[in-house]
Amino acid sequence: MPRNPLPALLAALGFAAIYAVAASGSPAQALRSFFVGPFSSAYALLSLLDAASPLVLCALGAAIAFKSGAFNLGGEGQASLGALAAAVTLGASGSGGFLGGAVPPWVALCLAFAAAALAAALLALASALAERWTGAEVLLTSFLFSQATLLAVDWAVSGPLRDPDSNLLAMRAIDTGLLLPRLAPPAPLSVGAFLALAIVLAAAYLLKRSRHGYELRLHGQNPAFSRAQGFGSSIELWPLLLSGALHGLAGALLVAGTAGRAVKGMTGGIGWNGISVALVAGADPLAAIPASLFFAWLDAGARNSSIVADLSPDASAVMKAIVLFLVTAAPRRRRSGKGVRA
Amino acid sequence: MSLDGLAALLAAGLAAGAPIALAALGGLLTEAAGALSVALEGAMLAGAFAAAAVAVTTGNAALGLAAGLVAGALVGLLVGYAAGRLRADVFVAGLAANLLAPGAASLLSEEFFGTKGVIPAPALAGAPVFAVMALAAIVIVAAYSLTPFGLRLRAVGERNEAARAAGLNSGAYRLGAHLAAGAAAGLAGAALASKIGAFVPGMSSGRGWIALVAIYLGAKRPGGVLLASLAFGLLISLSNAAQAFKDAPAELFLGLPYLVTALALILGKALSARKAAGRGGRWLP
Repeated sequence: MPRNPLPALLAALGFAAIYAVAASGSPAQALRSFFVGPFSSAYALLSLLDAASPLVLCALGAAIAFKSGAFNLGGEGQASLGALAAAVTLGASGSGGFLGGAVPPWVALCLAFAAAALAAALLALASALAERWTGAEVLLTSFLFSQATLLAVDWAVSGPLRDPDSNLLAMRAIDTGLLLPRLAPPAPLSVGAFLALAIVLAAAYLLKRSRHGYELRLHGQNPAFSRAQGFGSSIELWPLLLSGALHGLAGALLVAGTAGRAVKGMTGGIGWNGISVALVAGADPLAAIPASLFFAWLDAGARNSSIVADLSPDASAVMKAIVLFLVTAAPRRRRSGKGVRA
Repeated sequence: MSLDGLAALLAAGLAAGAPIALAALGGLLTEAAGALSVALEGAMLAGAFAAAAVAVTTGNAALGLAAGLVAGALVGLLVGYAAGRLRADVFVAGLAANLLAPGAASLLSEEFFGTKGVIPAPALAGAPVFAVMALAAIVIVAAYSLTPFGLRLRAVGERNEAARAAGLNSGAYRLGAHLAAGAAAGLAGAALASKIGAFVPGMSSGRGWIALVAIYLGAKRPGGVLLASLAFGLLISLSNAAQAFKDAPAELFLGLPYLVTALALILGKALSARKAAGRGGRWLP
């Protein structure tokens, strides 16, 4: 049941406009920096695309869980665990690491992405198995496991694994030779964007056309019917496994593409934003592409207007909340009297 | 551990459990009405911010606590309005509230106090928050178990059609439950701010979520919810006490309550005979 997300998006932009006019000493400049700023230079535009790349993977992860009838609330922790796994793998493959240059860069990158996907998938699997065995809701356990993981990753990155020579709460910078090649340095956009795009396109195709995709959608719409059709119970597990893996890949992309190292708190709400993007996109993988670009634009606009003008970067959090409040809304056109069901 | 130490730990557990219990009892009202609000976390943070902001402006602790209650109720109103009149999914609207509260707090804090960080509110410290929270909890439990309002609320949650046929305006009852839940969580947040005499960004630190789990673990009954909340309070104060040791990894101890909550939830489900009815009823795109 896709609903029209347009009112929600317009309401958020309306808030941005009102906030810029009300709170800024120079409204015209604030408005321009917010709405146009993210497109005003090649660097800004490439940064926007770079921010949208891991986000669309998170959105896809959330959407696959939605389609199968589950709510994965643990994306944030899964992404951060993936980021940590990728950073550790790349660190070990780099100079001074215990694999110390023994593996070629592309093998190291493949290993890092595989480790990230695997670690995050296992975290999601824990929730799926708990629901299968005891009935504890994925919705709750995925969130709780994720929060614990998030704090543990923060501890590892800023504690035992921290780079002692740096003031940052971060791990050692990864050798540049082991990072995803950037398309137009110094802009952060890397080949990771193509990877994300390819994964989304493949998922869109598989979800619509393959037998597994059909099985997944059928289970999401009516679990009892899907069982009666003889589809196995593994369908309760692997969509969440996949959802976790996609969040892990997003984390790896943050490390190997954007940041070049694991930093404390680096996921910065990307898991939550992924849920919002998936909702805006009606859990459609292809629609997640423009939706994640929209969210990346909100972030970039708010950040830009806090640098160029005198607004708060947190305006984007409020805008995202407004989108989330309204995106599932379906008000009745005309109320036909009290107590009467439409 | 000495007897004094044990008593101190219990007292600390009670103090840490009280805000969770109050928020959970508020949440229980929404659960009873068939529209569980996950916005407790956001309402708590909004309450903490409003309490500190008003206390620092007026220098009056009572006004601060009242502001916390009102701010929480406003969050509840938003969720109730979105889920009721706008027919949004109540769960997603709750998530939105949890996203809105920290963002709006930071925005307002920068606008009016020129900081995105800590807002010290010494006027708020030392208020008799435990007594206020206990009173609020008693009011909620009494309204839920003893009054016609509580009975009708449960009727709306259990058999909405029957409640409507009996002439109840179920939308109004749900909105009322969201308002009360928000107010309770807001007051709990104000108590958090009062305890340390300041607002700290993110200070609700998952207590609203833990309150939700307490509702489940407490088998959706007031007594059980109270017990579960106090158990979590004990857990939090234990991990706080452990944190005081030298070189203790703070983040790991902060993460512990989440992990134990998850394990308690799974264990509780495993031990209870009835399995979850499945994921039916949740709105999905």
